Amino acid sequence: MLEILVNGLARGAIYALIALGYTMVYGILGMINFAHGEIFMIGMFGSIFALGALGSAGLVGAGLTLPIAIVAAMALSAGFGILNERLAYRKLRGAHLLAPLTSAIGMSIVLQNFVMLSVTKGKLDFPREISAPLAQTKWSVGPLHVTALQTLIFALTLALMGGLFWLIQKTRVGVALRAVAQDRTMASLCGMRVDGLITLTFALGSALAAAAGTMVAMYQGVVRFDAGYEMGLKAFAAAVLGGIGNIPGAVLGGLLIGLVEDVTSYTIRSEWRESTSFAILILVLWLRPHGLLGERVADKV
Amino acid sequence: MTGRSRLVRRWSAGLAGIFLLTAPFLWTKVHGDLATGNVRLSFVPSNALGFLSVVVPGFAIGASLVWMAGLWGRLGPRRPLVATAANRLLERPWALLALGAALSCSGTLMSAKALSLGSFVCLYMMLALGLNVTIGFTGLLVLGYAAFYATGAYAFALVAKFLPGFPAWAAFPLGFCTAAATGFLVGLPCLRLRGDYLAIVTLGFAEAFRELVRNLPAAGGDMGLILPDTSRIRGLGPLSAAQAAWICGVWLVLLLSVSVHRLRHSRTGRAWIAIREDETAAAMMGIPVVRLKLLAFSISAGVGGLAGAYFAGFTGFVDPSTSTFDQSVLVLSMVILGGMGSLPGVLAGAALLYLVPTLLRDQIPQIADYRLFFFGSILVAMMLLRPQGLLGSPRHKLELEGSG
Repeated sequence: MLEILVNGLARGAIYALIALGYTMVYGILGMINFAHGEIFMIGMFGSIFALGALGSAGLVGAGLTLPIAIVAAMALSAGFGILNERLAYRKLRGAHLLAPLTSAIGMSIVLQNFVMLSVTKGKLDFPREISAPLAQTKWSVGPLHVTALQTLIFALTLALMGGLFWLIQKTRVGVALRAVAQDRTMASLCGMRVDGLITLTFALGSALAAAAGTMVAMYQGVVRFDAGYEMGLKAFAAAVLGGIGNIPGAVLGGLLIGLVEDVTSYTIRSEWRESTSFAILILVLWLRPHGLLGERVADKV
Repeated sequence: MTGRSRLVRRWSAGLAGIFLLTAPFLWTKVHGDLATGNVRLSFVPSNALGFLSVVVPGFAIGASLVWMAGLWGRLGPRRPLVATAANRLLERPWALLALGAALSCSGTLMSAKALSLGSFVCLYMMLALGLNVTIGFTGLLVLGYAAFYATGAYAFALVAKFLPGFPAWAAFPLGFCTAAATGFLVGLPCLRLRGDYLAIVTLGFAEAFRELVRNLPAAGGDMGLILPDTSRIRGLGPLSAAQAAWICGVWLVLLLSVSVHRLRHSRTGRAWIAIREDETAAAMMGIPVVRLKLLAFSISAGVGGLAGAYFAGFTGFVDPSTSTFDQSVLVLSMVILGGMGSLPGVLAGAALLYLVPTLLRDQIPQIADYRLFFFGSILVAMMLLRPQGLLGSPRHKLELEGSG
């Protein structure tokens, strides 16, 4: 039972990291970032490219390999996040809601197929040299078994979320971000660089998704070009469950979805695990569309 | 700094950024070493050259199409020729009957291959007409439209399985009604909310539907279902089955075009347009927004189901691949490319996007892999360059671009 809890929480921590990207973009733009799942997938590939480059340079084995790979993946995904914002969102910011939604879904299809065409249709293996020791080391505290990889997931998630909260709550940039989220016109009248702050939001969310991507790549051992689709849908369900636009909500939603998924797959049937998050999404939209922690907002004219 | 040099600098910075970001994907190859589990990266230019040799010409053709459409808009006649002609045609029953009869008769002259192509064009035209009701008229994005198409096809196949001899003509209303009811249930929780939720919920629904039919023994699992001969669209007298399917498709497309056209200009249709233009203002004017959005979405889903029943009737089988994301994206690109909200636009978009990849498949074998990449590019590029689509109206362009 405790094992289910730990597995579910590890899974949930990953959903939470991805859900943060959805919720941040929604908070600042009021729009869903459809390409976010693909940005996550690009992070998965980015970590392998970085490890490959390090391997070619003969640098594998040093203790810094994995941190470098994670940072490189985060940088690559942040770059794609900025590209996504420039191409799919910036010019269409004042347009009818349909226009940015359509271009963003187009962007997501383009990215997914770009990776399929340029890298591989099949799967790419994550270097076992890195992931195997982490997955096999197990620590037991009484009845509780935790692998080193799960510990790493928890530690990294906590560190990144802590960093994000600090950035948003304590720094000048965070104040500016919150101001833009509250009222974009007023913020720009007060001299804030709205365009730059929106780009920053996309970059931050994408970097978090890439960190999650690296973790998932290690957890599963393989990466595929279509991995972002399902993950994106689940993380979106997590963001909606917590209340989209609300940052603590995304974390709560992610952890809850992870737990519920693991519990259903152990108690009912594992085939239905994939549909659980969709069922949760429908239920939340029906019963409490503003989510667990979100506020009810009326449409403005 | 002059405007021109700033533009050059921004473009070169953008292109350099894209080059840097895509470089690891395009120019390198990852080699895994199974024994040690190590990976290495090496420089492989042939990969990138193969990709660029397809994508660059593809983009060039697309850009020139958009450019020509813009040129026609500026230099051509003030009155939109195609839209006017289509409107006139749709309002004259005799002209429509003559057109339908002419197309039906031409079926006797067509080869088997042309008949099959024509029937598929009719199928995609029906789907595009149906999706257009939600996207074009009401301004709501639907990403899992193929689920309703599959609902109609499966409803027909299941009924035919348990009721042998169930005729194809009765399948059309059956497909329409089951899919419309499904659409109603799917739309109910999310249409009260903002438009983007519908997009993602339908996306999830399409996936869940596919899982459902794959795991349901009655639906045949991955193998799908084969329709009994008695339920397929059959030949009649001198007509072969393929000719009958083509004629049936032609009349269904005409019937749907007229219905959609009349709906668009009815009180309901005008209310849809009002919702598309400004939902809050429409609600203030007393339009029952949620009810009308549900109606539009159900009709849309129903037309998809009708198309699904037609598909099952003339191909004789259904399988879970009818409800894939690829299918939904294909129909969405047809509507966006041709021009959402414009009937001749979506019909032309459907014909173009079905025929071009199918006819080029023999000459350019890679096209099957690159199809979706180009469809995605169409969605992004049309929104940036020509949001009203190739044949859309300038009024819709202003509306989509908004005030900024």
